[in-house]
Amino acid sequence: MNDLMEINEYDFYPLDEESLQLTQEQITKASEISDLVTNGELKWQVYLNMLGLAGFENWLEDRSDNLRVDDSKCSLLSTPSIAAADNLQVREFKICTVAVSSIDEDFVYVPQSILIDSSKAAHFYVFIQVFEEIAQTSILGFVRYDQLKAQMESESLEQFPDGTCDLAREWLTSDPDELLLYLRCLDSSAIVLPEVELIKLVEKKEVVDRIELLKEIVIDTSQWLNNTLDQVSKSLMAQLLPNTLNFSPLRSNPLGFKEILDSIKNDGRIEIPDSASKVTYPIEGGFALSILVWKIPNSQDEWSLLSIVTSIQEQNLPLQLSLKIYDDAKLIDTQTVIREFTPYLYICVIGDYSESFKVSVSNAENETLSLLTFILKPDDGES
Amino acid sequence: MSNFYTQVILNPGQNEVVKKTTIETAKIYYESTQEQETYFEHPNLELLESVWSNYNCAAAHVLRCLVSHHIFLACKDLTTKFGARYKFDLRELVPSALDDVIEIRPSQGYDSSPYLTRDRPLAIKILNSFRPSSKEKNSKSLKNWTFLIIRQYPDVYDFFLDRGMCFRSIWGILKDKKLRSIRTSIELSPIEIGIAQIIMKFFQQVYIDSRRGSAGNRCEQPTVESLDKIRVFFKQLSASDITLILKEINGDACQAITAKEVEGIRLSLLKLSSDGLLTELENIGEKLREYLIKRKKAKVSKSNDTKDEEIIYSPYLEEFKSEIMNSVKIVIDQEHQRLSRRADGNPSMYLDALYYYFCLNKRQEEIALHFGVIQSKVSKLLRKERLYTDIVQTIIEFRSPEILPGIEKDINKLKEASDKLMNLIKVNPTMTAMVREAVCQYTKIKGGGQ
Repeated sequence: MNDLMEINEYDFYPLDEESLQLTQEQITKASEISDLVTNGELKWQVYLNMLGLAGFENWLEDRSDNLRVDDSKCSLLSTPSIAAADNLQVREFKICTVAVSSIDEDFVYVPQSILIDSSKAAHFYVFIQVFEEIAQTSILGFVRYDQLKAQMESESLEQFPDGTCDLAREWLTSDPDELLLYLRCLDSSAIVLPEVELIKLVEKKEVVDRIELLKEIVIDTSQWLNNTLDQVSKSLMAQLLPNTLNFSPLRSNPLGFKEILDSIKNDGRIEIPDSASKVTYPIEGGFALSILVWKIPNSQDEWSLLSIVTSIQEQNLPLQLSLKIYDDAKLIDTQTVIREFTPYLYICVIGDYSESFKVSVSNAENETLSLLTFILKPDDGES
Repeated sequence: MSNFYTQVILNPGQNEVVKKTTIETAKIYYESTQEQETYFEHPNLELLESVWSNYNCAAAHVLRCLVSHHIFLACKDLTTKFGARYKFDLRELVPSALDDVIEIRPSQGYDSSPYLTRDRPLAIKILNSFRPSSKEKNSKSLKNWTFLIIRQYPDVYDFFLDRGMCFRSIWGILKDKKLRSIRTSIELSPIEIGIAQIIMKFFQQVYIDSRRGSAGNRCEQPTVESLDKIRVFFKQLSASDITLILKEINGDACQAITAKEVEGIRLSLLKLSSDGLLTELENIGEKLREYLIKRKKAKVSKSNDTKDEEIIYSPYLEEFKSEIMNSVKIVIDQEHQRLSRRADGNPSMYLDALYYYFCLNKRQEEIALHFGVIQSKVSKLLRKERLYTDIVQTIIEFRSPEILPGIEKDINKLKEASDKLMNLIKVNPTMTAMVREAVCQYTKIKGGGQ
């Protein structure tokens, strides 16, 4: 008999006494929150991370009467768009939990944005092993911000197209009691976090012809033309849609992505080539912003950008939702939902390679939900 | 061979042989079979099914014995490998697996029709899923198949889960595996890796979709509908889609695959039938399992090489003496309250367990016997390591101001203080005795052992 067919001690994962059972209520909540996401893989990751967050809360409740998790600022619970629970707070410590479902790997897989976005920096990154099959969790390990920073300075992390990095397991401290010790006894000033670079978007109410940005997110779309997603988009959990596949994150919309495009084409005003690159961004409030870019045929220096907003959760967009496009800082066009049963908004613009377009989505309260700047820098010699 | 056609009837509870008879029809049948040993390894499936369906017939008794024999061997194997570490013996395990119990009613005579006491015993599950005639390369013998199936059987699975061991199925492994890490886990050619990654990508996409919200349910083999759904995706794939997907998975590490090779991958995927896809998934799963086993073995041997750290004795002994009792009170009170709040908590048993362990110096095995529970339950209740950790951390958390001033602003000092104190509690006889005494005293005050 092949000895690998036999029951082997390594076929079991020994559950330590600290593994905790998730409740049905926690599982249901995880499922409901992940329903807000349309991208299938992200949906699963959000689900696992909700289980991981519940596991962390269970662990802390089990280990200490005095420590509680404040998850009121955690984006996973409101606008799930990354595979981690960021901005958690225990005492004055900022915590970020990341669910780990694979076992015995040399690496854990971490969303790039929690490592590069200073607004998500945490005193402790805690990795929760989620045994989804038996609805149990345990603390796999953790890494302190100062340790992580030092490691990242000595060793660069490879960023993968799916928006994650491989973090070596050996970087983690595997003893959860050490984390507990810090949470119980340490002063948070012992670990210095970077100052948060403000990415707040200031938009003047009503007179929306200029915008002021403290920090601009600029996306170079030229890589899209080669079927590659740029790093910034990856960190925003965007998805590059293949031309021939219909795996659209807009699947929950009554109209599929293809039908929306056909409908826009049928308006008769826009010619969208099949070769147009398509990228979809999940944005705050349960919406999706799809951007299509293409070079204008028979033109040396022009490109076109089509932006489409759809709802992820609902069939239609809410009233007063607005899509705006700015050239430099001047408003070029705006579309607002003024009738019920509007499934999507779109604006198409054409510019030369020196122009950048800011695409903004705002809600009825005029709060900016998304503001991204797109440029197209063709390869040298092409323009 | 005679074991397979001899019927032995035991007196329940006393294990005395009441009756031992040779089933003549079965004896003639099996003795006439050429190459008996081969037969038992690869029996004819149709024969098995027809025989099994009529459990009154003599040959069925023989077949039951054959499968039960394999089940028993698997139980013995499990007990040998894990019994000592996870505190169970063969007698405890066997009822979870060998549940093909036939009730023979003595009042109607020992030769009367037997009655199955369970609708779908493990033995039937084994036979129903067994594919002996398969010519595929991973075709397994009945014995191997029994060894594979037994660990997935719910009663056996739960038996181990109760004792802190969780078996991972290949479907669980496939579901959780990060696609880019397949490259470093399986030894295959770049094209085979590409095929495996694309198969797994769509398997995960379809499989996880049905699992959301059902955490806690075991990962089962994908349904025919799921397999068909995956195959529909394969049909939609163009060569450029495959290139894009592989690039998305592997990033810069993606080895250049020629257009011809990509087309080869596409055609291989298109050719897969449902059965073929299932076999491919099983093969990938087995390879990943093999990798995990080898990896863990390597890890264990590596960790065996490491020497114990030098035990550090500390100057903190005297300073912390007075803090121990206060910490013990806080820790035991908190745990007691926590168990009181839980529906499945048993706070009085917790105090009793502490009393037996710390005051009467009973071993966990004896305490389990006293309570009539499995030993792992006592271990979970006492959580000695955790008790000591909590005592140490509570001492530091509520320490007197003059002890270790300012350590809360220095990570290294805090950790050092905690480590030293933990070493003291575990290693220093005076300190260990002091903690035991404090736990014992407070447990008595709380009513433990009464």
